[in-house]
Amino acid sequence: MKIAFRSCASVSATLLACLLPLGSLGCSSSDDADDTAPAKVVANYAALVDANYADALAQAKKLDAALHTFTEAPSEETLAAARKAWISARVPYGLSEAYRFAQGPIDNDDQDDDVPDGPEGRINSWPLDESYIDYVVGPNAEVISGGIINSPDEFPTIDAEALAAANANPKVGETSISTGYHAIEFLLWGQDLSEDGPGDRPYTDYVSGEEGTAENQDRRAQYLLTVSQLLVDDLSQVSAAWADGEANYRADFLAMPSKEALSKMLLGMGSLAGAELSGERMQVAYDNKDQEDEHSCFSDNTLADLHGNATSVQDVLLGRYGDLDGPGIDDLVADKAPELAEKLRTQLQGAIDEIEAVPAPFDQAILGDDDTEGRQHLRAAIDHLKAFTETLTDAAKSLDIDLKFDE
Amino acid sequence: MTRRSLLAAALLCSSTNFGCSGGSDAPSPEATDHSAALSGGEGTTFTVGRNAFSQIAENVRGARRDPFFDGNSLFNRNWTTAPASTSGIDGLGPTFNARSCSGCHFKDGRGRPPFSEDEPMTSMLLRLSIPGTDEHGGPKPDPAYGGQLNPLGILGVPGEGDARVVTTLIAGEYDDGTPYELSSPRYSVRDLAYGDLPADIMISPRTAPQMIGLGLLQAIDEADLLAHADADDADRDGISGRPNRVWDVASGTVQMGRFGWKANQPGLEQQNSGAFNGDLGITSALFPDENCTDAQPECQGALNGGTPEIDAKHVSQVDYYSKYLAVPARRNYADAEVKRGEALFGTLGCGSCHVTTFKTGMVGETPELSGQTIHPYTDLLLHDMGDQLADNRPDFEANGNEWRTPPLWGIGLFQDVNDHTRYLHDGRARNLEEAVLWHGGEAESSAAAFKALAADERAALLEFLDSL
Repeated sequence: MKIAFRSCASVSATLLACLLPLGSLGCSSSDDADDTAPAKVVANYAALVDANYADALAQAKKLDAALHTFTEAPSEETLAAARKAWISARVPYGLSEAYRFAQGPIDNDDQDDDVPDGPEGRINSWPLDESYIDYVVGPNAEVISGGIINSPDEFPTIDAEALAAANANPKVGETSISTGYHAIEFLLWGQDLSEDGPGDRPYTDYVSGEEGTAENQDRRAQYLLTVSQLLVDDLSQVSAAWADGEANYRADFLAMPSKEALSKMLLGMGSLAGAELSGERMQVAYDNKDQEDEHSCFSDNTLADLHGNATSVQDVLLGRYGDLDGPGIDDLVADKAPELAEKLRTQLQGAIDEIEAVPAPFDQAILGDDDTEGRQHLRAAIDHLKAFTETLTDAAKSLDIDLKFDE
Repeated sequence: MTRRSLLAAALLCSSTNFGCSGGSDAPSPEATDHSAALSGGEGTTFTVGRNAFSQIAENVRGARRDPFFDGNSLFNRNWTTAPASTSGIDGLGPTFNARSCSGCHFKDGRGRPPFSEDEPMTSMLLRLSIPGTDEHGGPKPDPAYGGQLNPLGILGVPGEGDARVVTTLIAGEYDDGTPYELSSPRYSVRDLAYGDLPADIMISPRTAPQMIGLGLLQAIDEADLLAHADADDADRDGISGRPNRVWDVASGTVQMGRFGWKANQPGLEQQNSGAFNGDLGITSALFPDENCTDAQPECQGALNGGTPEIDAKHVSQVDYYSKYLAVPARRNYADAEVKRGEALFGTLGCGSCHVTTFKTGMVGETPELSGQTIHPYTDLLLHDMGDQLADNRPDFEANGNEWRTPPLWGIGLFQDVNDHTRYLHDGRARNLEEAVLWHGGEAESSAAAFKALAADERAALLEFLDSL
């Protein structure tokens, strides 16, 4: 049998203490059946998740409709409407990302349990393998016609099946990222080749005949509509798993001991705030200063993404989404350690304020010396998020939860 | 992974999980040497489960943790076809084995062979060469396929071929009559895109090794390793470990090899850049050429992602990351059965090559790796492992029968991290027991002694190995 080692603080002194037998410490029965407050927080969370994914799905459907309108009658106006629909669709999805990282319907990858694999990798992966999808402009401004769209011999048909197969190359266990929000973004905006603005793919990339630009316009439209349909399908699956009154994941989630459900909520918040948001999406870009090493590099929507993600964590903390407002994690923590609850709220609000203060676009804000306005606010936002994540670990402890962040 | 917060929280001692999992009686503190658990010195991590190999060394503090984080990001990042907007990480291929480091070193862990002939090879590769040596004494690459098979290609560039493995079962018997079976692999390549392989092709199959503790292995003084060498077996114990001597690209000199299944890489920097080049098709300062042969015009004509494709900053982040991945602490190290197995490990002579303890040297830029007492269970030297394990492919001074002693730290956690228990260079051993039984050559007598043990003793030895 394995001793369940958990991550230990420091090796020296603490270690020895940790390795000593601790008698019955922590071995008391796990859940108090009538801890109604945690159960209410969990139930409120389930309602938030349900409402949020329903919004994400509704917006994805609106986007899908706008893409149909655009591809049926490509013009400046219909392209602008489609881009606007994409920006709108990003909002509820960004707000939902704190529901990740806990083996739930969105991104479960645990093959040993009953929850089906989550579609997150198809929905929101980045950076996109854009030249695997369509033409790109090379380093000497030359147009390189390639990708699935421009390879009719290799990919005679573009449909969900073909794209799924192209993504999941049977020779490897991983994928070239060619679906999801960012594939649609690339197909609407094109590469961001400008210093200070987003990409500007012409609508004529979707016009056949003499007025058309690029090649394979019909196949491009087909690709766009196919990835859009995949997105709708994937979000439908996740949304259904959280719908009220069904025999679904939500029912299982509500049936869990409150502490287990709370652990998942905390895990999602901490993993998003720490590793994903402050790390992958901000610190790495901050350190590397690579223009376009950003979440939404084609549309320059990255700052809105970051703001949405931070707000996503805040929503779970406060127990709110949109018009919904109920008991949150902060209320539970406040009962045990009011100062920690206040610290959580302050640190997270601090991060959001700093993100709001970063001058757009993100890919310019990361450049330059460390004393530029953009980098200072980014640095501060990252630090607030890191501090928040540490506080969250302490707050979890006050709820008798051992928080262990996943990759 | 928010490592700093793990550190900040002294959760272990109050964890409801601790001490409640049953099974092992807690040892009396006086009787136990707790340092035995700290396989990776002060940097040892106590994380178990699927992220057991993904932690930063616990003794790396403050801002010194930041480059690890950037390296981790890059390690997991999929490289894209050039040109791409994310210009820092484009230039995949033209031919390649994987799109990211983690594609093979999943969760920083161990790759495995396909479980059947129908399954493609995804976290191991085939090294290729023909008789002779290159200009530096290394393997001579195949003229059409290069130094390793790249099954994949970017759009428009055919992958080189599809490697498959078939296995046959070999029956054996312990001295007490208990039967066992070993699974013996045979390799083939289908759909060869650039012509048949020559009749004298030499193929060496190799799984992706776990990434833990590499900086500590690099920090061991060479003299301390060479002290275990005994090329002519002067002490007549049947063990004749010797160092590989390989080409160091950066200095243009011959150096002792430490990394790779045949110790064919002198240091982590060259190992990492070599893997970027050979496995992902990414050029770097150390390896500026794409691995396209004259037989591969599409490969030669493909666009690259810059010259080189990975810049010095990104290289250094990955190097930093690979240096500081922590070694997990041993579990159950004080369990009576494990202690019994540990004693048998000594009696059987396993420790002659799987050297238990080293103290690392002083390394200026990496104080956390300096002066650490570690338990890697390796001498990093080459040993003849017998004809059955031989790849018959020389690699610098390593002959076709020789393999580097692999470190044993972490081997009990493959199941947790990678959902398998495959061991040895090609993952042929389906569990630790089979790994022991495959030992031949210099290890023949130890394997024979293992076979002569009583069933409960064998179980104890395996318990010990599982605690590492």
